[in-house]
Amino acid sequence: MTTLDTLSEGTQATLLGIEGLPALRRRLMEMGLLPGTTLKLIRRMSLGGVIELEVRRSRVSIRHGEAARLLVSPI
Amino acid sequence: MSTSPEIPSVVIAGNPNTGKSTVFNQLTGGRARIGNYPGITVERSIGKTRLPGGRMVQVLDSPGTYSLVARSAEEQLAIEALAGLPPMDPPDVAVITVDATQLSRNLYLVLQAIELGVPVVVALNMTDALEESGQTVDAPALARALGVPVVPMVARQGRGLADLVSAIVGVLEDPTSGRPGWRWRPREPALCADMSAVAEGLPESWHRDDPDRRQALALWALLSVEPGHELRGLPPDLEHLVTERRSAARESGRDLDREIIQGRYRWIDEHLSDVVRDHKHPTELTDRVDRVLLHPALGFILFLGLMTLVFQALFTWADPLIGMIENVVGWIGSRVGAAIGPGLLTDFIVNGVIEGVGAFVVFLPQILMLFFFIGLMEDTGYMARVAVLMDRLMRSVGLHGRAFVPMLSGYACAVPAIMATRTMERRRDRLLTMMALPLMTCSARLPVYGLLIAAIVPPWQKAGFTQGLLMAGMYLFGTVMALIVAWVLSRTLLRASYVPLVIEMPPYRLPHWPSIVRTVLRRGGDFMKTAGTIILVCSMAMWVLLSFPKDHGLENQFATQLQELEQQKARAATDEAKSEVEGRIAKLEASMAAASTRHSYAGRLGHAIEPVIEPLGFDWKIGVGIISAFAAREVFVSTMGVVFGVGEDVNEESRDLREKIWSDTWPDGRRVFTPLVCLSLMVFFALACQCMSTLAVVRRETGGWVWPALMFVYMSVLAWVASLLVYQGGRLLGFT
Repeated sequence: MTTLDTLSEGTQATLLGIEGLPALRRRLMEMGLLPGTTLKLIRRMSLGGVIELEVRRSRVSIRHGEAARLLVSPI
Repeated sequence: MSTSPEIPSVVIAGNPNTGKSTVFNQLTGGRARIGNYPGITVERSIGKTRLPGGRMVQVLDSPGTYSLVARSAEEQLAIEALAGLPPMDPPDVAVITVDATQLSRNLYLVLQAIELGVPVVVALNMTDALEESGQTVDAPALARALGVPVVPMVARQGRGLADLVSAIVGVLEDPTSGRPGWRWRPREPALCADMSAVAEGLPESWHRDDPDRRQALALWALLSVEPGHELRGLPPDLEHLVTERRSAARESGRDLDREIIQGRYRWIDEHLSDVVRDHKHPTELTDRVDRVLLHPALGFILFLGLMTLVFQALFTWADPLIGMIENVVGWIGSRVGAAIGPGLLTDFIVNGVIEGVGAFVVFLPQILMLFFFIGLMEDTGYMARVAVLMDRLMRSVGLHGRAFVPMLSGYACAVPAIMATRTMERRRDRLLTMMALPLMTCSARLPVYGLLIAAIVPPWQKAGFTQGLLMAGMYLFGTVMALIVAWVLSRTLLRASYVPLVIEMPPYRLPHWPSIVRTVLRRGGDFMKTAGTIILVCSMAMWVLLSFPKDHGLENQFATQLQELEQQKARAATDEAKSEVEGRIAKLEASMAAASTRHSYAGRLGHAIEPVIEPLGFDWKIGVGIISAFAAREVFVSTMGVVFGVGEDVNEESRDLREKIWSDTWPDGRRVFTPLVCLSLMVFFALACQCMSTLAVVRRETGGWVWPALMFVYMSVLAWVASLLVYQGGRLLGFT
């Protein structure tokens, strides 16, 4: 088990849980980042401070700080 | 929403960036009434449209949202509009726009609407982008799964619009066709118990004795009501019940949020398996493009290159067009003036009305150009990448990544830049950008800086290197102040409840030129209609301030002198003598203008505010300049020309004006425009909100006078204090 921000590009992982404030957890879950969901890390953008993911057939970018709250298990 | 009973209402809802406003504009033909939601200053667009068969419907555009769950009053609008909570009535049809390439996240909102029992039509938009995203969506299968009409659309091209209209008509005629009868409901007994308990706390005006609606609103409350919420009008009973249930659940190790959200997504995942098919590895082309455009080094260089292009367009390429508009306005003014003959009415029509219209038409080239670039960036999918590239930088001062384009445009002109804040979804992000943006050094400040920097050295010298250095310094000063203000506001007045950033990365696609052109034209027309009217009224008010009251004695005296000179001119034997007399006439007219300006309300105001601005080193003439610069900052230069009696056709390089300014003194013989005063005045111009057009456009964008008033006050105070520090501090240090 690790956090999403530590994965390398191209890695797939299963989301295990989200840490942090209820509002943050709820919002991320409502955007489709639910425990059990499969994610793929597409790109890390160090300058922008953002990570691009593939989740539920679509691409989204989230911030490093938020990615660090997503507990994942690499596949 | 106060609907007359005979006109059915249609609410348009949807996730951000799903073409919600496009659908709204196409349904209403762009004829919308812009107002505010009751009790909160969030813009609300309402339009009417005639359906085939002659029936009228009222269409309401609701704020874009991923979920109906709310923590703030602003987010609460989505549930109020869609469910029809007081003071609104339930809509007769809810059209939910859905991005076909992001189906499961979009269906989360659709599911919530269906739960409420509102008749729903799904506008399955952006079906043209499905190919690039490597998927196909079976719309009939989706309609069967959801139990509501699903209309495939490419809204920006107008495709599917007729089908959408007939689907709306169908649901209006038979509301059950938009209500599937089934709805997602929790099955876990514990969660069901929570739901029923909370449902007891709902007022009748909310649930309307509908058991399904009652359950749906109970689920909404369970997810929304939390300590520290900013929701309006919650019944205390409800709040109490939810808090009790949530803490009980927490104690027994349950996670209510996850149970509800996961329940909905599980339903979506099960039903989508027959609807969505992947036919190739998604986004191959997009991946290849992003490898370049999001490259850590190259991506930034290309972005900065593009921004340079945008900036160049606003700053340089728009200039000939602006010049052309000014010439045309001047030409019309002179023709009209010649046709009516001299007099007060002519003066009003030429300098009040025609110049006033010109005052807002000159903004059009920049507005059209900026919205063309923004439309291009949004349509191709590049805007999402801008937000990603700029997020870290902008976030450090509390701004949204997308605020970069408006902030940069602020260097050219705040008016189009403020309109460009619409690319941001959240009102708080828009307001923050709008409030900080006018501090960026806009092009209207340049002539003022030019004049004042030139005034630092004697008129027979060139400022040379110092000039460039000071100019660069003023740019830096404005930028730093804008960022500081953004930082301060984001931590005080516009502090955001923390929202995690999730930026959708749509596949790249080719721009659809007609829809970009349509948007650009609509923005331009919109500006002319709303902000333009305010600017025109302000221009006429400025004209009154500068033209009245008339001093008839003085005017007659000048008229006599003028007549004498005209006669001399007629008698002049040689060309030399003639041009000598003409020179004297010009001088006389200039001093006439100076005298009448001094005598005018603006002149008196300049005198009246002298005690306030004297600590900054300014005299009443500068005061008149500051007041007249409210029409537009660059007017300061021509006002100085008028006040100093060299005529209004001056620019910052005029030798005459520079000489007058150089030799201007206080009654005690001290020079007025010392280098320290020039610096203090530049700082004042950098920070003060001397632009009625900016305030007009902020009023238009925020839907009220609160924010423009706040902007005017904070900028004026900031300018006064900063100039005071510069002038008094400089004097203490021994400068003059």
